[in-house]
Amino acid sequence: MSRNPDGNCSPLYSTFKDDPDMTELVSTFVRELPERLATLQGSLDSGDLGSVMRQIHQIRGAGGGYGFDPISEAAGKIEDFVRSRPEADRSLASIRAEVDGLIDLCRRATS
Amino acid sequence: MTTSVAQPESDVPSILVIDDSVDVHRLLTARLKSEGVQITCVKTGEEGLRLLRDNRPTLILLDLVIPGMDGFEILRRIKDDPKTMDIPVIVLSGLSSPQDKVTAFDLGAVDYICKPFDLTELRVRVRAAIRLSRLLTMLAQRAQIDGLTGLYNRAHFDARWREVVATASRKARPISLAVFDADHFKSINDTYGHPAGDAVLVGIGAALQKACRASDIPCRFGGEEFCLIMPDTTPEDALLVCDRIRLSMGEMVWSRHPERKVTVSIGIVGSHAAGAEASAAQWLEAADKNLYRAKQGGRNRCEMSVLEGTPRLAKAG
Repeated sequence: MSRNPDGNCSPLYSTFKDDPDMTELVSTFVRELPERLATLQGSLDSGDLGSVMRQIHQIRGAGGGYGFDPISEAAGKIEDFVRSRPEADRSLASIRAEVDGLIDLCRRATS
Repeated sequence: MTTSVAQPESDVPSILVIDDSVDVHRLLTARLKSEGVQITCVKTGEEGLRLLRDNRPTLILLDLVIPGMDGFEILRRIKDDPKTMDIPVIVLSGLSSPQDKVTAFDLGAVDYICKPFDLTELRVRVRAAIRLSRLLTMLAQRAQIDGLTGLYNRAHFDARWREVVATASRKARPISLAVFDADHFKSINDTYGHPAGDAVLVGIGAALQKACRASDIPCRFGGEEFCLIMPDTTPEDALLVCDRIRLSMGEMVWSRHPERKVTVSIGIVGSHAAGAEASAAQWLEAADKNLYRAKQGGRNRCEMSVLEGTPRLAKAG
């Protein structure tokens, strides 16, 4: 799997930004996102694949729920890729670039 | 007339969410607010199963990939326990392979929603599952309720009695059973007609329902025979309860025959620590014997005996 950097840094808006039920939830999600990314970065740096995968799974589930579908899609691609590999072939190195890309994408999320 | 309803369910449907993600808790709570449901969220299967022991939700939303006990195992346990097996479970999962879906449905899930979920789809699926579950509960209740009196019927008694005896013997708690029979019921039918007889049965059912305690389970056995299951009740206390019911029935005035009172004879059998070795048939037989003694003794009275371990009749009451 190779990285496809797009260099895009335009803000990513929630598709629910005009939904009154969701305004508060979306801003909470965006506010807490840096903390999540820091945890994810920490797991990446310490080479803990299991922890990285758990967090990516959570981001996949959460992103679309808050109206950030591209985040779920990117996390889903990484998760599906890892799951499709035999246990022995799974490594952080093989997804490192994609995880970095996911982190960049998350940083663009705006409420 | 009071209607007895099996396990009254409050009008507000309740949903238990078992999912390790706080995001899912928040999103579901926000997204289902408009459905008027009460939502409880837990992060692990262990927590969820613990909650289920005391609180019966209308519906369970279950995630598959969670730390600790995984979703399939949680589902298996919910469906293995007779107390929780009929609660509908919707699987809400990021896993979307056909194999995962097949496994979930095989284990007894009622529906499967893939994450990230679409808001409208989620709402309608939850609504459909709640509607289906309500209809099933209603059907099950109808099949267990006597059409004339609204009390539980014989089928319910048979199932319930087994359950109550098992609980009592496991916890070594007292338990009592009473059989009621309207005195000279045939002559009421013959003298005033069957509608008057039916009114008497409805009246007895209502009186029984009104007089017994919340934990007691009144049933119509068939004909003019009724019974009352009294969990956690010693035979001596059962005698007090039943005699109070007997006295209140003797005071009732019947609009179709105000001049004619209706009395009941009652056979009671009880145990101080659940006669574990006695079968349901032996209990009923003992209660029937006491009822017979009450009839022989002049009717409008209670006869009680104590059953300990192996059935043994003792003169009392």
